[in-house]
Amino acid sequence: VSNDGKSPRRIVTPSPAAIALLPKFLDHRRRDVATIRTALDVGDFEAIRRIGHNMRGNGLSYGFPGISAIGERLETEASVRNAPGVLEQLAALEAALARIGEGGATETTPRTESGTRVRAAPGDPEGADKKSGAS
Amino acid sequence: VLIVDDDESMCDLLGAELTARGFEAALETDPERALASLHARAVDVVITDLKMRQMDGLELCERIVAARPDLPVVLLTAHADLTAAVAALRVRAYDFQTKPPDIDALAAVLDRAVRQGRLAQEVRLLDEGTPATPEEHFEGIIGASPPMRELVQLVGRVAEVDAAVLIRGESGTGKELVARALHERSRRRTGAFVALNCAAIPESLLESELFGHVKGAFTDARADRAGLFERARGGTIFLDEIAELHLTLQPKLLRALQERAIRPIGSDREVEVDVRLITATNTDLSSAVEKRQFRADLFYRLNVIEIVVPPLRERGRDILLLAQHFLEQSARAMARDVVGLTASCAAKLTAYSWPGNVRELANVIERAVALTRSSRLNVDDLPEQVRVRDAVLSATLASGMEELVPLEEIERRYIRRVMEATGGNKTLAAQILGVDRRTLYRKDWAVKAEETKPSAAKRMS
Repeated sequence: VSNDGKSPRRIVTPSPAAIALLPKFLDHRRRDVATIRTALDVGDFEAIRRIGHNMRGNGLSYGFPGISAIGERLETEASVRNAPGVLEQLAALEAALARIGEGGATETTPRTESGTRVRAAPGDPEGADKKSGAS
Repeated sequence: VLIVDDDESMCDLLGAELTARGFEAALETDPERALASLHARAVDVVITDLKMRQMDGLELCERIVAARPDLPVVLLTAHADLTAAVAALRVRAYDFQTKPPDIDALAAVLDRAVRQGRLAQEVRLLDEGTPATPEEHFEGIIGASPPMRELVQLVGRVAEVDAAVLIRGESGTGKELVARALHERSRRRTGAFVALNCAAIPESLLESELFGHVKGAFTDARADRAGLFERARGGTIFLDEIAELHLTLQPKLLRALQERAIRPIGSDREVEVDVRLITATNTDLSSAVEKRQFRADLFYRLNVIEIVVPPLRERGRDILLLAQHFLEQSARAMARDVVGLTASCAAKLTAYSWPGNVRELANVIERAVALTRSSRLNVDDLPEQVRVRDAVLSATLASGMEELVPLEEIERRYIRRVMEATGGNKTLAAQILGVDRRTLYRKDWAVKAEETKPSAAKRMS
């Protein structure tokens, strides 16, 4: 238990169960993209914050630390109602999903607990981090 | 396991991971629906996310605990901070885990939660004095286990048949209770039920006790005295420990059964008798016949119908049903405010092999009720042999085998015995064995596989 309000980030190597569920996971993230756009149109930042929060958790569980990082930043931008910031993260998310799509759902870049990259793949969601200029 | 998370991806993944680890998972993305479904679902444990759109996990946990106090709830939180820990405690969550969860650690928590929840539920049901169903209470016979249900059905079927019955069972299993049930369910129920233990009366007196005597038949015969056969006319005679009946008396008993007439000692007249004879033994009477210690013709006459009373260790949940029955009986008799068992006490009672059977259990509970300082019996109130009996030793002795066997064989026997004692309840069996459920699944499977091999039968014989 940490007292700073933040949990240590634990990066998970995707399990066979996660790999089997990847297509559904990616569909849900694409659905998130559409939902975020609609929410932004009506100024529903709370909905965006919730989507970001969930993405932060499920991104790690499915072996996508990049998507998790986008989720975390979406949560932050939505909580300060920063529409340009949300749009920037939305673009990062779309780019990451496109890259994963190009590489095939199973060709992800899972990392081990220590953060060592297991293998490189075209669908590297970390690229999205670099593009968005975040950590 | 009911998994509640408004994030469908997390719900899916947790469900798949836990299913792969032997759990049966139900998924809900709406906490209100999850709450409503608890009435219709058989759920042993709930996992819920902390932050959800419709209702947060703390409120859901609070409402579940209020509705089903025995149902453990595990909270999943992104921030494992002190605030979350205190909040989890406040709503009486069983545990909380960080997201993304370490699935193996979560599975271990769930295993523990399921075990504890089931035991707590079992103890609560006993506390509430769940009314015994007709199958659980039959003419004073208490039991819901499969062997006892079979026995009760058999007693019901043979009670009306006016044939001799031989009841076989270890000492303390309740053979006289079965004999009484046979009498109470027969057309002879309005007649007398007369019980006699053949081992308790000297041979010289037993003949007179059974058949009676006339005045002057022997030195102390100062008046005519009717024997059991005459006194039980129209009713039932129950002769316990029939194997102890002396060889000189055996032909006389045989004659009474064949001729339906007896001759009191010293009398020259025959008296007609109308009784049903029920006998019981805790030994192997057929082997006594082989050794010529018991007459074969009498054995066949007595053994028209055989009823076997199972030992307590094979009666699974009956142990707790009986324990609660004796507890209430003793508490009433001693005017003590003892209402039930703690979960750990229940686990010890279920794990013990009960060589003295129901009689031993009754004594253990009576003693515990007399000595306890709390309203619930706990492990400290049990005698040493129940608390610390060497489980492996009991596994070997329970099969009555004296040969030396490999360790693997001991394990196999013990797993089989614990599975029998728990009525096949793998969760309770795993708790008793101190292994997780998956290990037990694997080992139980190996036990069954081994026992189907032809060579296994040879080794076990």
